[in-house]
Amino acid sequence: MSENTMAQGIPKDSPVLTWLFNPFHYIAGGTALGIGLAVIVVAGVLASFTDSHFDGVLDFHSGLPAPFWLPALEGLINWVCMAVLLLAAGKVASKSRFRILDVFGTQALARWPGLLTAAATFIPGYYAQVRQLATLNFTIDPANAPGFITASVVIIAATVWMLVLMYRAYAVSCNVSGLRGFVSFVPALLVAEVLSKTALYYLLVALSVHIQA
Amino acid sequence: MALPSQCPACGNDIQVKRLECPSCATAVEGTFELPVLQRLSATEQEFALNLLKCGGALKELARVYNVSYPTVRNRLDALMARITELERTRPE
Repeated sequence: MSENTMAQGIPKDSPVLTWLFNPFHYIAGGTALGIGLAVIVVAGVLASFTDSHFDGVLDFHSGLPAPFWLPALEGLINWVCMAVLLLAAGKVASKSRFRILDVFGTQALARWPGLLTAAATFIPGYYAQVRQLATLNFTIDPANAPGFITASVVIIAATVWMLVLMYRAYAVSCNVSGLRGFVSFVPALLVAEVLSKTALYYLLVALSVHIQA
Repeated sequence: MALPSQCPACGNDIQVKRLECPSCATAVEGTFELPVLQRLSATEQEFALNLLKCGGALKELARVYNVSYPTVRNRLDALMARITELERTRPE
């Protein structure tokens, strides 16, 4: 199928693949925003049970106990940072008019693999191994190895999936694709990563939250 | 039978050479270019027609196609670009 047809919004892939890798073809705006925000909060609360954190736009780390609400707040900050930067990138790169609601909504929905990431930390062996690593014992316990490795693979795959969704969300909501889309997305991602890390640091300081190792 | 807008052999735009009245059989021959809307693909024509039926409301059009608002917005942008291109490359 030609690029022109793709540009008109007709999915090249099967409906199943479109739902998996470009759900924004079907869902955007307020619906995407509602679902996305709910998923971010649920994923954050789930992650808190295994001392895990969404400490950056693309970051996920485990092993530091913190208040149950903190990972959810981290997820919301990551979403805002990414959406604001992509909104700016879209204003520069896109020739079309687009809605702010679609940028924020689709970026929220794009973070749904974070739910899989948080769920993966419940695979038996992962949390035990994380607690062991937190004590600076860097050996892998054979009893924990299968669960730890499986969870790590799921976490990495879900993070890559989320990255793909974030780009597709940007491409659909701002109507940018190809080289123009890629060249405007990557700098926005890098700046959003730095911005989210900085915002999280100052938030923790402002809220006087102490994360115990 | 739908009026074709492209040559089935080479894919180039085609022109009308002959028009005929079905009532009195009067024929007019010449070289007539197809109007811009007729030179759109069947899918593009259907999209433009549905847009008119929805009174230009993209939210309503998104419901008709069962897709999101930005998807129809992007499709409309592509259609606008295509029409601009067709107008620019209008045969002399």
